[in-house]
Amino acid sequence: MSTGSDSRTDAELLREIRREPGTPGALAAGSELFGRYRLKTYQWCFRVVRDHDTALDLAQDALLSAWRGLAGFDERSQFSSWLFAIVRNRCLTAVRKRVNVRDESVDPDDLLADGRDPLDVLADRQEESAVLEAIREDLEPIEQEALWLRAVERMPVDEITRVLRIRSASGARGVLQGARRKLKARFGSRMEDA
Amino acid sequence: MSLSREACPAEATLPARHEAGEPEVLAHVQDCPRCRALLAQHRAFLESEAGAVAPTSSQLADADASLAAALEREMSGGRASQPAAASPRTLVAEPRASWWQALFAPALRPAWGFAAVLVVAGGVYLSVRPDVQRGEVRGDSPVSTAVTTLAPVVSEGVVTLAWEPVAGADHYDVVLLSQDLSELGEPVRVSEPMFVLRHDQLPAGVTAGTSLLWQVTARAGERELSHSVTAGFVAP
Repeated sequence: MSTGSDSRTDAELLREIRREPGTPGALAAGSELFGRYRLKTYQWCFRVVRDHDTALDLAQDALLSAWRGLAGFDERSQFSSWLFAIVRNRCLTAVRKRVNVRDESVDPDDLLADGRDPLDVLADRQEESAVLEAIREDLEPIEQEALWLRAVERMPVDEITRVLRIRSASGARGVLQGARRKLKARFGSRMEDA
Repeated sequence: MSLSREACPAEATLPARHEAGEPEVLAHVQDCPRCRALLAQHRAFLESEAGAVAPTSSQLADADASLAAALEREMSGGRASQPAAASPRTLVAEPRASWWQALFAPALRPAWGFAAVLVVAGGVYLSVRPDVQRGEVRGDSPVSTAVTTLAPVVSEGVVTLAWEPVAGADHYDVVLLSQDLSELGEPVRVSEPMFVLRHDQLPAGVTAGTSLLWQVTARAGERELSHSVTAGFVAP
């Protein structure tokens, strides 16, 4: 990836940083490379945690960790993928720490009226692989992806709509409702035991 | 297919391998909701297209300035541990009076008077205090040098991670990291500038031959003095 006036690719900037660490040229390359992803990182964090200061803290933590860890980046992946893995993991950790915070984008009336949300039951009671098995067998691919993002990664519903490019009027909410009904039908009695 | 996490390609390499059309990866992704969701997230991260919820333009400007300042501090060797909120955030300069006008503004006159009293009191104190040995380290001044790591030494089933001692440090926290910088377990606290990792102490899920990363932080009590860059080693 290259942007703006500096036409060098990410890989070329990385080589410059590593050639003579600490030199003005290396620092300029570092500034350019990380400058390309500063706002993307912040925007991702913001969309996950929905709070400016928290997103800023997460983004700063991820970017500084990436800079400090650059020596360990082995270039088997693209820089953007490696950085995104760091950012995503930081956000996931933050979200999992505050599982009691309600997602305001979900209208409780939209959830199934009887019993608990099947996804919560699965996420609470099952191992990740068991959740995957369950959703893979019964659901359409788009439902599987939406459920994975919602149940395991706790992603806000409107963000799932954006990430999965769901164009229908009801967005991810409609997809999730359909998936929940199928899961409810399959797991019915086991859900009510939860 | 196995749906355990171990069956998925490494998170950081998945997009490139998928883009390259590796048959094994394509087949896996087709059947794995986790990897498909990950690829969709990676694409959305790079595109940064607008969604229903997005930061305001002033929040974006604030974030850009704060993150740029934090990165600059870190890259120039400074300690970037201040919270983001404490970063410089002045984006639009207010019209200012010239410096000498501001210096003698009426509102500052009481402060000038107080400062004069402090200067006199300070002079009196310096003239009567006991001598302080030159060169003595006082207060909480952090040791500015980074921790210098040494090359890992590998022998049968054991790797030794070592670093140069840091003046003033009473212990060191060693943290092991995966390639995507996720911490593997809790940091290990050692008092000597060395950490020996045996095969049977590897974090859960890590096998011999796995490329790992490590970082060491020198501390005096709970205060961080300095930290190393992240370095690599191969699990014994």
